[in-house]
Formats: sequence, structure tokens, C-alpha cells
Amino acid sequence: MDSDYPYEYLVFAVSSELYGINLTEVMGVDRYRGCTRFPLLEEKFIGFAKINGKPVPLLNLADSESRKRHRQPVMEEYIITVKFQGELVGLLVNNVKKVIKVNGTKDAVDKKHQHKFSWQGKDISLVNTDELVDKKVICEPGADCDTKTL
Amino acid sequence: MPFNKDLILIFSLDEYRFAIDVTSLVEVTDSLEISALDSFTGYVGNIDFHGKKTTLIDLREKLFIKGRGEKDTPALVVKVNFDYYAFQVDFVDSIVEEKSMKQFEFPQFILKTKGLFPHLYEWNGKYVAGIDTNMLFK
Repeated sequence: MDSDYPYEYLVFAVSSELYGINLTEVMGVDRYRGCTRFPLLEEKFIGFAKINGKPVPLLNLADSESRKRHRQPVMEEYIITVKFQGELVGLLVNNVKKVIKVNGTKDAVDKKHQHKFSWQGKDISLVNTDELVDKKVICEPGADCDTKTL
Repeated sequence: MPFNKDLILIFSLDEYRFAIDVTSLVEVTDSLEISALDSFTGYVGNIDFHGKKTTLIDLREKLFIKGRGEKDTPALVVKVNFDYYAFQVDFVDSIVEEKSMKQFEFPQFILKTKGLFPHLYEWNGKYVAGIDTNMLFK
């Protein structure tokens, strides 16, 4: 079916940049309340947060500079819980803004907006869970989704 | 009396907590009273432990934990595949019956060394990584 219908994106902030993730990929949003750290984790993973009674591995997308400025943990941050290969993963981000709707089929959204769209005069780059967890990259506004590593 | 195989020992290194199965545990000592054998450098090398040639390892270095621990901290001696290994820890926290704790699979896709931490336990509101000693000393 090719008719237009709205896609809902959860908009979040990493540093001063805005990113949107399809709401269908989002399992929940929680305030960051600290985590248990471990050594020998893949880059970007910092440990486990307890979410709904279960340990969820945390992928740190949050701005590392703000972490240096504050004493850790930075409690203003949020965890967006997503599913990756059947497992829950928490995306640690600086802020969660709101859910916005974009009209059009997914292809139309991707092609027309080149992985980004505009909201209140700001560019929002679209990202998906596989890119974030697997390649650990995030889209730069206006670029293909393989250019910027946080 | 042999150890109950369902017991695990929880220890701390820096801010991290780990657990090992007590079936591999030979002894917990306050400090290592040892005589150094060849190639002993103070933190790693071969030592004599009650007449057994034992490999002393720096667990911090093996787990890529920065810094160096205090000198007089407890040491664990374990037997893995007929070989003896000793390593110092910061604290021995507890010996707990495994089934009394919540146990989870450690998601391997976030680990650099797959299989080293097969399990994750919840203990006193914190998570503890269960170490596979066969992987650690292979």
C-alpha cells in the first residue's frame, strides 16, 4: 500500500543536535538514574541500567563533554529503550524532546528528506536502532547515515 | 566437605563487581604469603603456594582496569584445568548461593571478549558479572 500515512518519530538531543527515531522502535523512555559499569565492553557501551527490573545495556550517545563538565552520573540524561536483535538496549541521550508526525511512506520520507526533516527551523536527522547499535554511528544533518561517529 | 557447586564468590576490583563459581576456588587468603619463583615481577609471575607452582596474574591488567590495587588486599587462588592461579582483589564481598540471586544472560554482543562474562547477577541492587575462569586463564 503506497498511500501517505503519518510516521511518528521520537525526537531526542545529543549535544546540540537533534535526532529522530521511529516510534515503532522505541520500547520506553526513562530518566537516567545511574548504571553499573563493567570493563571490556564494546566501545560506547558503558554498563547496565535497571529498567523494569531488568538489566539493559547502555549505549552512550550522550555528549561526553557535558559528562566531563558535570560529576557523573549526569542525572538530566534520558534512556530511550529500543530492541536490537531481540535484546533490549538503552540509548543514553542528553534530552528527549517530543514525538512528531511526518506524513508520507517511509521511502518517501527517506528520499524526499534525505534522512532528515525540519522541525521548528531545526534539522532533525533520522536514525535507526541497527545503525546506532551495530555501526555506532548517527546521521549528520543532510548526510547519509554513515558519516558521523559520536 | 566439598563446596556446594551452587555457591558463587563475589569480589570487587575498583568500582566493578565480579563473581566466580566456588568450585574452582582453592583458597582465599588475607595476603599472599609466598616465595617467588622464576620470572616473578611483584605483580605477575610464578609463585610457590603451599608447594604448588602457581601463576600469579594481575587481574586488573587482564580486565583492562586502570590503576593498581593496594598491596595487602585479599588474594584468590583458583584451580583451572589442573593449573593453579592466584590474583589479588580489592575486597571479597560475599559468598552467595547462586539460586538466591536473580540471574541473567550477559548480552554477548556488547562484550569485546565473547564468553568471558556468561552471566549477570543482581546482588544488593547492583549487577555483578559472572566470570568464566576457563576463559579467563586459557
